[in-house]
Amino acid sequence: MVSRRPIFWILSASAALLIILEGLGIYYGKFARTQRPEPSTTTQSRNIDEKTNQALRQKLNNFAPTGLHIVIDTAQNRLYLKKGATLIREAVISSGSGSKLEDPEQNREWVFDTPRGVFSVKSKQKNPLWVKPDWAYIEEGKRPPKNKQDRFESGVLGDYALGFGDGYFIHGTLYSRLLGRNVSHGCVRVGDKDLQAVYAAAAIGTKIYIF
Amino acid sequence: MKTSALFACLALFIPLEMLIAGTTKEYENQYLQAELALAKKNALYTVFDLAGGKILIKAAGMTLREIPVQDIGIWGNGLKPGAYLVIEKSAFKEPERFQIDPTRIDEESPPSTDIDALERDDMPTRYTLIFEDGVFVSVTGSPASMDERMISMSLDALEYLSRPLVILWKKINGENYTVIDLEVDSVDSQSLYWTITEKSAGLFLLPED
Repeated sequence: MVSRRPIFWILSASAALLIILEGLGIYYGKFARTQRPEPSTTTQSRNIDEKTNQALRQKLNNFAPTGLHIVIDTAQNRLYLKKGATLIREAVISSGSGSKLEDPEQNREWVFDTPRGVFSVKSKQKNPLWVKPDWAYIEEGKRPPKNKQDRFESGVLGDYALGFGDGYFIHGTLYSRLLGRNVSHGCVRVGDKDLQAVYAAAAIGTKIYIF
Repeated sequence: MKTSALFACLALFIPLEMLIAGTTKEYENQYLQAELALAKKNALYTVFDLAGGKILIKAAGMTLREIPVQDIGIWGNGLKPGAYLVIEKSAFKEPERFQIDPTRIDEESPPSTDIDALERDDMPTRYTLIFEDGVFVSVTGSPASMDERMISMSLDALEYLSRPLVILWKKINGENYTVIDLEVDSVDSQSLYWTITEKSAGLFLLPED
């Protein structure tokens, strides 16, 4: 019993020291941005590697658009119309509310998020008509009509609409005081003047980056 | 008995592995190839540029948003230069989506500014992004008030005490375990939680040796 005591103390002390050292961030490393040395590129082999990497970096840069494109930040509810790296126009928008809707009758569910990723303008419409989808009726506690003609509604989408696939549009809004908030069903709502500018600038095929 | 105990103690102090798998041009080369593969897809991805002290939200090779990192800590046994997928976003209080109740919709009145929606401000400021292969990115928003600072310091202390034991446990079980602590501005922290989705890819650019 007595002979085990030193082992116990050594183990305890070692464990405590390990925890303290690691707890301080010394053991596994803690990096301050200011402490990082500049990368060395002195040797021949590193130069060759650097050339390869530079070529890869160039390839990567070539992906970035040089022409007109649209960037949409759904967290900040902002739309940026850009040409290359130059900002042409910034607009306050409303993007998806993230809410859920269930249709218990047909066991369907919708999540009203604005999709994220890289898209392109697929259609452009002046004075667009809204073809009300099923969820719009279910949200109002109504049954969706069977006849497509009964689904048309005018004036809801504003003066212009730019479709970017799967029924999603950049369009106008009747509720401009809610711009800057996440209130849409996934489409991107834009104020009248900004929408006009975006519609005039963007052509079919213009890239849209949504994050 | 005493000798084996001594060896066991010493083993605790042997660096389990170099914390960074590689910080050379070769690492960068593999990293760039991985990013090139991601850029070809039409999806968002995140670059944790630990060398530059920033987080980049990117798509198709283009930086959409840059978030400056105020403090970086790296724990564990290294990272590969390839892409890691987000398995889960874990927070103490995770934001919940609102369920629309059709019986509450009043068609006649326009929606009020008191809206039932999930917005950036509803996102947590302190959370962990769990990537595949045992990579955890712990994001903390800079505490604004004294209360927040105290809570943050207590949680940090808990993590700093428990993490070495977890590292040891994972090592014994032969599992990878890397934790990256990032402190960013509170609003940036919420934006990041908003933007990063499960199954999206993350890349790690490590500091030089």
